[in-house]
Amino acid sequence: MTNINVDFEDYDLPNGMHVILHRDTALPIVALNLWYHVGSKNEHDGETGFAHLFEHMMFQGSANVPANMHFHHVQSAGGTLNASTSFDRTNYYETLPAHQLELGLWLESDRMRALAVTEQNLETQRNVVMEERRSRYDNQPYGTMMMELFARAYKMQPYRWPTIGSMTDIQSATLEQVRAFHAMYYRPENASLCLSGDFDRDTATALVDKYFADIPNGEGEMYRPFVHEPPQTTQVRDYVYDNIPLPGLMVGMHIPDMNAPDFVALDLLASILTSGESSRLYRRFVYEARIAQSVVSFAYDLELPGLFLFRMIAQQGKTPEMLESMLWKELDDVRRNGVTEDELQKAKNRTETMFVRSVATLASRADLLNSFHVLAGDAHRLNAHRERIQAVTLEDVRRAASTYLTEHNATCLHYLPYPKKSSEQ
Amino acid sequence: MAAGNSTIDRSMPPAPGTPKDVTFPEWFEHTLDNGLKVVVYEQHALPMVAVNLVAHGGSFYDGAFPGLAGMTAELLTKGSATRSASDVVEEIEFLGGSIGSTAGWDSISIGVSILSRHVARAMEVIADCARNPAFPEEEIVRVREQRIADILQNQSSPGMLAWERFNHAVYGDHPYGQSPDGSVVSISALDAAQLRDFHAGRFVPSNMVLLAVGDVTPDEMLRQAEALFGDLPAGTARPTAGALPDIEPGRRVHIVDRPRAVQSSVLVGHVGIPRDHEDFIAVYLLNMLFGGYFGSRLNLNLREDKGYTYGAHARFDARRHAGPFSAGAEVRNEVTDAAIAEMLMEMERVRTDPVGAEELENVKKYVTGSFPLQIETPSQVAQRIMNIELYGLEKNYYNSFNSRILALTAEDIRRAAQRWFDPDGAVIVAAGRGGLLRNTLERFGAVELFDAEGKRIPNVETQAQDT
Repeated sequence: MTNINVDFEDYDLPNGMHVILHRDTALPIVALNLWYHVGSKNEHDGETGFAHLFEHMMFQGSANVPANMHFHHVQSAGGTLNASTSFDRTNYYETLPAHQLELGLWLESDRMRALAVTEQNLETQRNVVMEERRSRYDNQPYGTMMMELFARAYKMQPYRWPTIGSMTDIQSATLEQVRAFHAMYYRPENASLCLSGDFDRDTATALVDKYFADIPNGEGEMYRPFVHEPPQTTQVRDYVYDNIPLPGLMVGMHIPDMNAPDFVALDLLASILTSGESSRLYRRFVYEARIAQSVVSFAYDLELPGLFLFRMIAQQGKTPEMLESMLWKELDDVRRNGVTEDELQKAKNRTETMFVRSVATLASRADLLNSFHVLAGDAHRLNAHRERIQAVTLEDVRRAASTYLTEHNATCLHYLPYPKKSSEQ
Repeated sequence: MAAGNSTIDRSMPPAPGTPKDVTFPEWFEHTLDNGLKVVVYEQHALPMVAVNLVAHGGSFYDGAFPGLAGMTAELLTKGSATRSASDVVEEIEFLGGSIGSTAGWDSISIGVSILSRHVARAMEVIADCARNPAFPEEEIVRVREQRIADILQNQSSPGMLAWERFNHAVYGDHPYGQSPDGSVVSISALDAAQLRDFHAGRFVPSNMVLLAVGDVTPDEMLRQAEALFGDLPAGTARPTAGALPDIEPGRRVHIVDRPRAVQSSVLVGHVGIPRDHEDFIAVYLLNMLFGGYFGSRLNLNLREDKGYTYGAHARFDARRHAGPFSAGAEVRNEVTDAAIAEMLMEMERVRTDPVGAEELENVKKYVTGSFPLQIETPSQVAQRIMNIELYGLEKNYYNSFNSRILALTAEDIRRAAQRWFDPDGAVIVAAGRGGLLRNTLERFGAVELFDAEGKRIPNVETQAQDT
């Protein structure tokens, strides 16, 4: 294994906010990365998309930073910034010239303490988010495949609605809800701040104290759904029409959460099946049989039990049925015979290289450390995780395939072009 | 909500510390006797190396066969005299690396990214692919089929449809008016002889740069370069650029009909600036302020003020010749015309009204302050070194960049806008609901309607109710 460890120290402030410090002085840059442990899974039916809409509102003004000035302060300091929302968490990040570290802390602490948003801001952001949904999903070919699959694979878990939310719910969000959501989840004990880059350790800890230590804890218990689907016993299948030229196939099987022992074997299995042009299914579907134009699989790493996903686009003149029957044949082979020593070794080598790439920037390192702290419970698991990957055996992979990649555990979705007749309607 | 009793003054942004100087890193270069230029940027932070063999001249030379450079590039990794396509990819991927070959407008290249302990073996593979590509018939058939499927897929992507239509509308028969991905017709017609000929005309040492970045030393690279390429004759690159067709300027309004679209993909623009033009830096700052970053006029207007879009951007795609300037956004159907009107208004405004001192100061601070972020990874540095190589920029280019940005005045920006923005002559393209757009975009000029395959739809009222 390549000898790269991401060195860091971490501690809690008295108010419970977690702090991770990773120093690297190669360039005078510092990355701030702040995670809140709240995502779309904390939402309720009828209020979908709220965590993400709220993320937009975090740029719309806080006690001492008027609307849009957050972007302005960071960019005119020579920094870059953004934020994102997933099922399980929301992150906010800035990369700044090192001498502007304090600016970043001032900005993040101000919006953690006190939002100052208006009905007008909310109205604009509702519109922006509806356009985001159209740009990224509704108006994109194959853009809704994932959400359509999740909606059918899950009956109970709050992954059954997409992070972007439904148009109706986005439209009906109120300012009252925005304030309540902030009070409930944007509290220091629900946050983890990682600084990565060129800073003096003592100065940094003092500045973090200065801006965050006096932020009070929240009141009331945070809603944290801990729902597990009952085991799926019969296959689910459906058909969806879209504005697409080539049909597609999406299949998802229930798998355990990202911290479960089987997860790493599933992760490697996905790499063996579809990562790179020498992977098993790429060779079979795209190279040899030429029935697919693309084939992707991955084990979705989620805090509650996730899905193992296959996504294929058919080659011209080929059908989702052809893709599906070949997929089951291939999976049957893996379940019976497992994979080869070479395939497993290659997957480990590729995972290792991907790890090195994933720590190439200060911003990505900070995000990785926060993800291990927030979702795996301990940033120190980052380095241990790589050892877990090396320890996976051929039998682990075969067992994972035969346990999870089965017909009855699958939800299958055929994606079809609109019938020609009605396409002018 | 309760915000605790703060003991510190949070009302003003804290004063910054003292900035540290950042300079663009040094790199090594040496030209072999046969003309192959070897460029090495050492950075040992991570045990990775990226090696690229880059030949000057790419899709610009596609000629009557759009897609020629791209397809030639793709076939380079699909088999050599002694390795099959599967051998090539298996060898690199087993080591955890990735191999790829691609063409841009101005270059065609093959490269690997791999852990440094495997770099010698990986270089042997790319040298073999670059020197002895086999262009096997069965691989050509596969790639052709894949590329045609890609083209069909793009015909359902609103962004791609708008972009290709925009380039046709701006450039006509000029090479930049064709898609570098090619068409179903051109891809179907390309054969091994053409690919072989294009490769032979580009991959000659006097026309190539071997660029290695990351955990590697110049000595090691020079030794490898000499061993793998030193015996090749210098050669002469071909084809060279012939006479280019004239580009006919002027307003055109083109719509690509997407019957079920819930949004319009809009592009507004015209011919831009060549990469090596002396005005480039002023144009860079002008574009940043106009539509290049979140705080730009276009984005603040269309997103943060009006809520028309998730994001509005503008860019000069500067190439060896004058590539396109475009402002773009994806907007909801009903506000398509209003969004276009705002884009044209913003183009006009920056031509007429001098930029305010504070706005100019802010955008300069963004551009100059974020410079260290642009050179964080070896691949970011590599990209900039390649810009210097491909466009003949001075070696000191990136170190003088900030001072040249800082020297620009409001008058320089206005002058650049007057020379390089032409709202009256801007081409307008929208991919969306034809029936709706045809009516609402008429106010910008005579509307021409096309289908996803690029065929003109006759101007008759057939689908008035598709809103």
